[in-house]
Amino acid sequence: MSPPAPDIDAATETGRDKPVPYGPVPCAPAFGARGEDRMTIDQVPANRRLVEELYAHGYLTTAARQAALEFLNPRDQWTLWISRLLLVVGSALALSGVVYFFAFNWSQIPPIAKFASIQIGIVAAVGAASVWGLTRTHGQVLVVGASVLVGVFLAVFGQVYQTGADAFELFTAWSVLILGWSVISNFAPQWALWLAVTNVALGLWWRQAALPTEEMAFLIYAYLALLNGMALAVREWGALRGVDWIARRWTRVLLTIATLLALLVPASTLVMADDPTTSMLVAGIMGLIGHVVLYSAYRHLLPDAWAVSATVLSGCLVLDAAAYRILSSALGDNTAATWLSLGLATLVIFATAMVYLRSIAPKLKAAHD
Amino acid sequence: MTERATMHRVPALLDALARDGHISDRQAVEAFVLARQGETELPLHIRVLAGIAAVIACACFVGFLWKIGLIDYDEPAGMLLIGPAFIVVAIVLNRIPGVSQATVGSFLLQVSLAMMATGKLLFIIGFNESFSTPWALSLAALIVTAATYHLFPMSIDRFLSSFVLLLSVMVNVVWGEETTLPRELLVTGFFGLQLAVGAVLLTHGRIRREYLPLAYAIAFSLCVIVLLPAAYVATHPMVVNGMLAGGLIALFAWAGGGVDVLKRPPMVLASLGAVLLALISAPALMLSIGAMIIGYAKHDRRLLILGALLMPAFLWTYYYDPEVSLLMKSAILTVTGGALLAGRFYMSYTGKSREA
Repeated sequence: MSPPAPDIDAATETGRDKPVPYGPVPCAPAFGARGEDRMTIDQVPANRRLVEELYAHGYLTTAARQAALEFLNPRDQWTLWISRLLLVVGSALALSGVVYFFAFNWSQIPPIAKFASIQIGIVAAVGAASVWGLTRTHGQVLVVGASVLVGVFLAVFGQVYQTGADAFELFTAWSVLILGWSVISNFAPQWALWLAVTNVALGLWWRQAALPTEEMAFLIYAYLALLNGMALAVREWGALRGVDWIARRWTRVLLTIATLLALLVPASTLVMADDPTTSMLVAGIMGLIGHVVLYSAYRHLLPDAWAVSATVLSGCLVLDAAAYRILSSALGDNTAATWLSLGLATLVIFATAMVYLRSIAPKLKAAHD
Repeated sequence: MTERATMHRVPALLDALARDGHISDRQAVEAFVLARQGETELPLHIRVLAGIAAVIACACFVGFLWKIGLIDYDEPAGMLLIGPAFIVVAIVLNRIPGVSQATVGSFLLQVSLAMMATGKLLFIIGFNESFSTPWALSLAALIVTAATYHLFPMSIDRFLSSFVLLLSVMVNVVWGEETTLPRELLVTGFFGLQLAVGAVLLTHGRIRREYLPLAYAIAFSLCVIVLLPAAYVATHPMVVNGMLAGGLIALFAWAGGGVDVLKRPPMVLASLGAVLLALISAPALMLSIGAMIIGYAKHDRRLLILGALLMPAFLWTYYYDPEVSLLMKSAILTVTGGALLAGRFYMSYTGKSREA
């Protein structure tokens, strides 16, 4: 295949595509594009799209394109990624197939067979994990599989023996039983599973065992914020100490979202409430303080543009709730004026947040780099 | 699966190519690259912030218009006039020069996005109320999307408009009135058309970046079709599976750098695997794998995440699919999982999998 000749006509379909001398480029505005945001060559990410564009416009030959692709995605990286994709997706589908099979035959399967098959699954997964070791992905994925099967086992146990146990007891037992594996797994998805199970256990305990009065109902958000916030703190502590497996970016994203959700609900409820209950007050104030703590942590201590943006977004929603409260009180029955002014207030709040985030973005990026 | 490719910057890539003698006029290449970038798009997290603000503000403005009586189902002509007026104001606001002052610029950006959303909503409702056919909704969505796609360069608006258009067409094709053409043919054709256009938009080098939001909208629309049992059963399943398998094989060739790579033994096996998936599997699995491969190859985290999230979403909706028995679903999932694990075993056996 011969390389196409440089295609200047095609490149000049728009002003934006016109080849220009090296330096700032005049172009049509992109989304949110403003004059001060022009890129330098050092800022442009090299990716496949760029290589394909260079090739399509004749700046790269076929051999050069191939060399560029090999540079961006070396073959050994591709094979490692594909092998992991096959392992994770294949395991997930095979396990799902087993679960579906149980669901299909549930009433016909004798209890002994139910228990035996699940227990054999757990023993086999744990045995294979100990053979492979927990330093390899195979072993770690198997521990996650065994942890899921522990939950299935507890559900079957409760059903067969009609223990009458509440759902929170099942989830609490599940959380306790897989805690040890989580500790030794050195595997973030295993911890994510544990945290999800523990969050559900806490929520169910609140509804089924704690049975809070209306006065205390909002305290659950404080507990959930504490649980997820502590997990986030442990994650950051581990990352700072160089623990690689916990330092994956998605762990921060997941834990920040979980913590912010538990902070946002009571904080926005508090600012809208006319007569807040004690728990609403406690959890709401904690929610407001939590926003400040998260903001400070990711703005100054561990600079992270994404985490700061998530916190600012959550803060904007709290402010919007406050704006609704103030406007609806001030404008009374004039709902048309309330809607209009709330729309404008929303735009002002979020625009200010955008301006601020754009102003600190270079500093956060520099700190991150 | 979560392993990400190393991110490089352009100078590093050009250094590597120059070292091997692949580039002679580096300055021209750099000028071209900068010209293609246009101006920096806002980071995704700030665009999300703008999108959420626009949705909330749009809801408030619609509430306001409703309260003052400008939204009236008995008088759709009013909405047909006010909607385009909002759209025009949004475009004008977006193009006001001298918005280098960040505060004013960001506020105008938010206002224009909110007004665009409100205007489009009013026009679509008004148009739909003016005609007695459900296709009026799709036609209205097509009109506002086509009219504003190039005039209003906000990617979030382009994505949402295109997605609403595709979704409305899908609803009409799947659940709409009978036509002279069999429904199976229409839905399968709609799926195939989207797959082909989406593939070209996502993989062809000459496609301009402003069409990326349309490509993402198509990817989301395809996901909706394969996730909704009612939509999928309205297709010809084997034809859809065949299209996806063909797409996967084409993707292998694209990712490998050319059709010639398909002759290599691992690629032959991968292609056979794709055919096997078409014969036994559900389309969502193939679409999920395809999205992840494109995402990984293009360093496009959005597609990677979309593909990864499609998998659990599929497992959830598949369970409640009334068209296939649980036993059949169990067999399909187990055999598909086994086939993928066999691929992994082959890679380990031949030493192609270098486990970290």
